[in-house]
Amino acid sequence: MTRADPIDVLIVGAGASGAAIAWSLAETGMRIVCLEQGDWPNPSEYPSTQRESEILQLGPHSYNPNTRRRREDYPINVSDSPISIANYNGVGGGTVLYAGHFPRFHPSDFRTKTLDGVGDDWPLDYEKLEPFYAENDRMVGVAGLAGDPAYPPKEVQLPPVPLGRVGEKLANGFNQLGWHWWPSDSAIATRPYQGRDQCVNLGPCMSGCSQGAKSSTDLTYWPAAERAGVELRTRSRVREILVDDQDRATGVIYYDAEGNENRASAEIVILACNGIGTPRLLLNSKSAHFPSGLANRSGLVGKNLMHHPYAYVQGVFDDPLDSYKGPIGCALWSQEFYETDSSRGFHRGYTLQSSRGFGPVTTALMGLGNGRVGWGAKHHDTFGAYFNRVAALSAICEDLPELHNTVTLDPELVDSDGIPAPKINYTLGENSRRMLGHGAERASDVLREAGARDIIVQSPLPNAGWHQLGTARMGVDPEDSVVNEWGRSHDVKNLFVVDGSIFVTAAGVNPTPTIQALALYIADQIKTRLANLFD
Amino acid sequence: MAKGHDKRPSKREADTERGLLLSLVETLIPSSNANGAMPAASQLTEFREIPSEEARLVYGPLLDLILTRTPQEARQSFASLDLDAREEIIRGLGADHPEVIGGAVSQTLIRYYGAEAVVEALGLEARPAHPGGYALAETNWAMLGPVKAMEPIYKPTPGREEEG
Ligand SMILES: Cc1cc2nc3c(=O)[nH]c(=O)nc-3n(C[C@H](O)[C@H](O)[C@H](O)COP(=O)(O)OP(=O)(O)OC[C@H]3O[C@@H](n4cnc5c(N)ncnc54)[C@H](O)[C@@H]3O)c2cc1C
Ligand code: SF4
Repeated sequence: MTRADPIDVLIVGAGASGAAIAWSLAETGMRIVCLEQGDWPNPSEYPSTQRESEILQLGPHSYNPNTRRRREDYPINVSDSPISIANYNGVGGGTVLYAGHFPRFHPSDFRTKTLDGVGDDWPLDYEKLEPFYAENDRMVGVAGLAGDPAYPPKEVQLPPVPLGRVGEKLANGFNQLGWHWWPSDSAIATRPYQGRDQCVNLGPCMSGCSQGAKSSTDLTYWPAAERAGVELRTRSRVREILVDDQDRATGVIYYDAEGNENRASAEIVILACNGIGTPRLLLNSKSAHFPSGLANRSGLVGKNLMHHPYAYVQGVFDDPLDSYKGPIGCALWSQEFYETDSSRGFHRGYTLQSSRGFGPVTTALMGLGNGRVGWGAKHHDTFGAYFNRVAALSAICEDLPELHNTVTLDPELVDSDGIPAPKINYTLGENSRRMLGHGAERASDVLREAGARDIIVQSPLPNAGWHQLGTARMGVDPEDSVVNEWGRSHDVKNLFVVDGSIFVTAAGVNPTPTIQALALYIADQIKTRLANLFD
Repeated sequence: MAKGHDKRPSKREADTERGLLLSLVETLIPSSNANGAMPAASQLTEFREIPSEEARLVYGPLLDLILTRTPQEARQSFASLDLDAREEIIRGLGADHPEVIGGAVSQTLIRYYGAEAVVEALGLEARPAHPGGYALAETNWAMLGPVKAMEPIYKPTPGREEEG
C-alpha cells in the first residue's frame, strides 16, 4: 500500500547500494520510499530449477540486458565499446546475478595518486570505511578465512567455500610458484545464516541462486528495511529528477507498471541506479539551471567510466575436475600482483580469481568459439577432451579513470517507456592493456604449473562489463567531482549518489563490498548531519 | 497470404526435407563411442521432431547453400552420401560462409547437449540442479601453510602506518 503523506527520502534503485542505504536510514523514522524499475525476483523461476538451465541463461536469464530484453530492462548501446554491460534490473539489482566475490578494497586503493602517481586519491580512506565494511559483512554473511596476508586483519562470518578439485589444482600451482593465494571472501552462506539456507553447489550463481544461499539484497537488506518501515515501489521507472530555481531537487517523474506518468515529491533524493543508470538519469534531467544535465556543472557526469577489464585464462587438464559443481566464481584468489611494481611496465595491479567450469551446453559453445571443440567426425573427441576438464583464472585489472570513457544519452535508442537509452564509449587504456597481458601470462604460469596441457586466453573478456564505476565521482573539489566526500552533489544540496558511479578509482577487485560500505557510510553521514544537511 | 495457394509441402516433400535435415545434423554431430555411447544428433527426438518452422529458421540458410552451391550429383543425393563426403561438402561451403555454418553448428550443439539422452550418455544426472544440489568434498586447508607463513603483502595507507 502506498501512503500519500510527504516523502522525506526518495531512493531510486533497489540494488546493492539502494538497499543498504534504505536499511540504514530506516532507523531515523523518516518516511523513506524507494522506486525500482523492475520487480521482485522469483527464485523459483531461476534457471537452476530447470533442467534446461544453461539454455535459459542464453536468453531470458542472460546477464546481458540487450539479450534478456525484459520490459524492465533498458537497452544499452555498446557498439563503441569492446566490453558489453551486464546487469539486473529488479529488487536486488546486480546482486541477484553477481557471482558473490566479496573482496574489500585495500588501503592503497584509496591513495593511488600519492602512492603511484596515477588516478586520484579518494577523499576518504580504508580506515574510515572499515567499520562500514564490517557492518555490511555482518548483513551479508561473508564466507572466507581470516588471516589473509593481502589484507589488514578483518573478520568473516562463515567458513570458506570448498575449493573442489578445480581450486585444489590451482592452489597447488600457486604453491609450486611460491605465490600468494587465499580462499575468496564470498557473499555465499556456506552454513545457514540469518534465515538463509546454505549453498548446495548448484553452480550457476550468475543466473540467480534458487537456494537463497547467495547474499543478494532482495534476501538480505530489503526484508529488514521493509520491516523497519521503508516502502519499496516496484515497476516504477524514474524518467527525470525535478529541481526548483534554488537548485534543490523537489522529486521525480516516474512511470508505473501501467506506463502512467507519476510525480513523487521528496525532501532528499538519493540515486542508486549504478554506474550506467545514474549518469543516464542525471543527463536526462536537464533544466534551465542545469542545461547539460543535473548536478553536472563539473561536466563530469558520465565521464571516467571504469570497468574491470578481465583476462580470462582457461587451463585444460587431463583428468576430470567436476568443474561444473560449486559456485562458479568463488573458490580462491591471488593478490601476488596487486600492488604496483614498476618493473612490470604498468601502474597498479590485479587480482587473479579462480572460476570453475560449465555444463555441457556452455562448454560446447565456448569450445566452438575458441576452436577447442569441432563438429563432424572429430566432435566427440574434442568435446570429451574439454568438458569437465577446465580450471580457469581471471586477471581482474584495475582500470584507470579516463575522461574519454563515457556514458551519454543515445540520440535514438529508447527504453519501453520512451526514455533515452545510454550509450557507452569505451576504449582500453594502454595501462589496462599491458596489465591484461601480464595477468594472462601469470595466470598461464599457474595453470601450467598445476598441470594444464592446453591454455586458452580470452582478453579482454567481451561480456564482462559487470562493474560500472566512476561516472559521478566523489571528491572535495566541485570542479573535479560530482559529489562531495560524503556523497552529496556539489550542485544540488539535497541530492545524493551512493552507487558505483561515485568511485574515484576502480581498484583491482570486485566492487560490491565497497559500494555497500560507501552507502552505509553516506547513510551515517546523513544521520549525523541531519540538523544542517543542506548547508 | 493469398487464398487458394496452399504453400505447405506435400508429405513426400516434407519427408525429403526432414531426411535432408537429419542427414545434416548427423554430419555435424555423428554418433560415437569415444566418450561412452554418444548418439548422433539425428537419433534424438529434439531433431527428429523439430517443428518445421524452427527447422527452417535454424537450418534453412545452410540447407539452401547445400542445395544451390554443391555439384549437381551431390545436391541430388546429399542424404545418401557417407558422413565423410557430407562433411567435406559442408567444410567446402564454410570457407565462404562461416557465419552460416557457425550458426547451424551452435544451434545443433545447444539442442544436442540440452537433450536428456545426451546428458545421461555423458554420465551426468538429467535433473535440475536445484533442489538436490551437488556435494563438494571438504577442503584440506593445510595447503595454505606456505601462504600463512608469508609477511603481509598489502601497502598500508600512507600516514596511517603506525595505527597498525
Ligand atoms: C553477472 C554479474 C556478476 C557479478 N559478479 C560480481 C561479483 O562477484 N562481485 C561483485 O562485487 N560484484 C559483482 N557484480 C557487480 C555487482 O552486481 C554490482 O557492482 C552491484 O550490484 C552494483 O550496485 P549498485 O547499487 O551500483 O547498482 P545495481 O545493483 O545495479 O542496482 C541499480 C538498480 O537501479 C535500478 N534502476 C536503474 N535505473 C532506474 C530508474 N531510472 N528508475 C528506477 N530504477 C532504476 C535498476 O533496476 C537496479 O535494480 C556482478 C554483476 C553481474 C551482472
Ligand atoms: S552454488 Fe551455492 S550460491 Fe551459487 S547458486 Fe548454487 S547454492 Fe547458490
